[in-house]
Amino acid sequence: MWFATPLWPVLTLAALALLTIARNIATLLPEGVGIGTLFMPDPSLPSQMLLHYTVLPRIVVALMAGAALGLSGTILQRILRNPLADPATLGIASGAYLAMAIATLFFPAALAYRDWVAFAGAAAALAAILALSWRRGLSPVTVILAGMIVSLYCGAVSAVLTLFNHDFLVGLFLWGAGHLDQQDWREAIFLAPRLLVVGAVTLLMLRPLTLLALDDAHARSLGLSLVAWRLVALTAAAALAAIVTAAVGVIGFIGLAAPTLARACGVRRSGALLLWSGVLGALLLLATDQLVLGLPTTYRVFPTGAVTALLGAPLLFLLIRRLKLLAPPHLASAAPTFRLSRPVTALILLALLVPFALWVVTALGESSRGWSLAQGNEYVHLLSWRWPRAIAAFSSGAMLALAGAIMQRMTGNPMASPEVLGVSSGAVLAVVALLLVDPAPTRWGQILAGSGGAMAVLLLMLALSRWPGFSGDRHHAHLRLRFRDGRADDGAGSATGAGAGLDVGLNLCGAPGRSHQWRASRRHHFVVGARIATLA
Amino acid sequence: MWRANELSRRAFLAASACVCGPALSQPRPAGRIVALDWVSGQSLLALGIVPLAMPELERYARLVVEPAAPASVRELGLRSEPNLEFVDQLAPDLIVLPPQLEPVRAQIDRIAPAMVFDPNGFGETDPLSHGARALQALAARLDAVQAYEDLARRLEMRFREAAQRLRDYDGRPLYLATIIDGRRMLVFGRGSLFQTVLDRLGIENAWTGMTSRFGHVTLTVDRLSQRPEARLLCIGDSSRASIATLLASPVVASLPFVGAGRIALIPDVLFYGGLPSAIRFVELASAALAQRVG
Repeated sequence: MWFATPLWPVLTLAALALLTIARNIATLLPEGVGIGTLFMPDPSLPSQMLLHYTVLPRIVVALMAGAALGLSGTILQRILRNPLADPATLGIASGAYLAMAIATLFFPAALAYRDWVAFAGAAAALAAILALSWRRGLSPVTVILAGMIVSLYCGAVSAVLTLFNHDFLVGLFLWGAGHLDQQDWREAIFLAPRLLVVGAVTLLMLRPLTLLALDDAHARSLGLSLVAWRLVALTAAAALAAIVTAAVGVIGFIGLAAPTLARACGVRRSGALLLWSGVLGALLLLATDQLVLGLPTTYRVFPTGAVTALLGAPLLFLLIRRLKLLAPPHLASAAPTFRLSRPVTALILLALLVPFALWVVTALGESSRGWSLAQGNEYVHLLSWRWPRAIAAFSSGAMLALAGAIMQRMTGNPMASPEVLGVSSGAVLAVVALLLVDPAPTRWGQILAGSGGAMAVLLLMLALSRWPGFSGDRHHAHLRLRFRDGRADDGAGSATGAGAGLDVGLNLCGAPGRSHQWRASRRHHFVVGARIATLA
Repeated sequence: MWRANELSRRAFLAASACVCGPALSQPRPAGRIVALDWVSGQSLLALGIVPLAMPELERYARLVVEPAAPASVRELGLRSEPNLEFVDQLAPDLIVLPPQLEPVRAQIDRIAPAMVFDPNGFGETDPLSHGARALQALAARLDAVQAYEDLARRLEMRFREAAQRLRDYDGRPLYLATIIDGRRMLVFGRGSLFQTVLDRLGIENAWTGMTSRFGHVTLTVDRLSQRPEARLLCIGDSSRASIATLLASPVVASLPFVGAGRIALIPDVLFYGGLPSAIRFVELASAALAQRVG
């Protein structure tokens, strides 16, 4: 036991925050600050204006946003019965991000109401999740799956929009990174009343929240209307996250770290957990943000939303061994596997589709005469451009499907999937790092860097799965170690190894053909096709 | 810097003429060239050579503007992933590509002879001289030395006109910025093409802090308060849209240069690309500043 109550971490964080705030203000106003300076700055003195309109609202916004994320994470961890659920589980931020991207590109006038655009996107994401999981009574596994689907889907659409329009989306990238900088009190005024209302609703849910954390039978026998309370709790948690995202962008990790930290300090009761998570979230975000302010300006100011993840990830590694699951995951309540009545016939039919699909993707394309199916010599010539991409897509799909199948089998987790291993994120990180040192890398350089990054993550995961406390039995299902972009699932060690190994293989082969932008969508279909083929 | 390179420029030209001797003696039709990025396309057009195809033409017309691409130029798709299959169908004699496409060089080489054109010199102190040297090499390869000399003279002429226009400039330091969303801005400083232009015009850049190797830095708009005596030149149409938000920020609104109206706006200019971009920037910036000062 390194601390018995959350009081110590709270005091430490508060002291750290106060010290950094004092230092940051002293840098701005070396001559000292009076009460009058705080509330009525002299417009002719830039430093006083900066204190009142940028430093103070930033502190207030950080406190409110951190508290809201902490509360949101606590509610979600309870009702989803998952110790590592957080606002990102619901895909709220992805919905908001997509709405912002669409508004930036197609309705720039709407950006005058930025908060509302982001909020509408978040609300739409929540509505989609509720609709997807309604028929299964909003059961935790279904909600998590639906959240993942919505999150991945919004992410994919945003990625396509970004691919074609990155020139005009710089503002969106900055917002998405989670900068807390303020130019006036607008965001603070936006946040305060909304958080008060949702916070009050949360207080009304104390008893139901305790019961919702139990399994369904117990909760029902205690006279709780499961669906109704889940709906209220989910909506409250999502609303908290949505309000924060709308005001300051995507802030990672606080929603996960604050309740986790509180629980690791021994807090168990719902009311106390909500209180301490809120306080810890507020202080974590404030302290991180003030530390970020003290960092030197590089070509871009460090986004607080990313730094929280950088600082939070090691903290979670330390805490994970101390965690007890709230309730064992109920894999029995997962959707029953859908089985085909004639798997062999389906498999043969799908296999017959493969040559046809390969022919279509290599023959159909745009030439100087418009869209056409290539024939004869022209087809042979075009084949040299088109087959590498087709083969790459086909094999990538097959390998991903295989990796997913192995992981789901070995972990018994219906939500396991190779992209949550973080191996691809490792590859991307390494390629980005290469681009920073060498603006014109060769193809081989990219492949080497990508494989190196993927390998490094794989080795890290294997090392972690041997570490006591990370073993597959204890945190069996859906234990996620979230990095900023990628997620890591710790499944049973062997499955992790096998699945990740395949993913590494994928990154090694890369996509050699780069011929045709317009075939990206077809590649996606292909991946899905190959997946179905392997899974059936 | 620019003038100091005059000599080495001649020497370089002479040297490249020797190396490319046989090629120069039999002039090729300069028509069948494909540009895989905006900067190459812009430079070819500036040399009077119309490329067969270029990427993202619509956006080029919006963000690069000058020199305009005629309707005969075909669309190649995204800059990050030009349609090489289509390039192959066009059967060009030469492909000009940016260093960023080096990873697909092997595939490009299969189509036609290719050359990397890099006038930006990111990370160097003088992007303008670097751009001039790169463009000169390109011109030498394409038998367009005369066009290059004309272009270099045109830039000098623009600088002389600008100096004339700005002879009464009040000496205030100048922030060069593209407003991103009204709360943040891209500020140009050391290492940028615009900085070398300011140096030539004898105007001090108000931002002397850190910049990336591309010569710019993303800052929150309250940083403008570091030099209240300065002037602000906003670049690009995105600035036009978000300038109202910028001016609504209480910190910015309280600055003397906002009250005194020391803010000017110019249309989009590519902030890299060497000579052609510099020519456009000198013209637009000096005209906007002269209007405000005068």
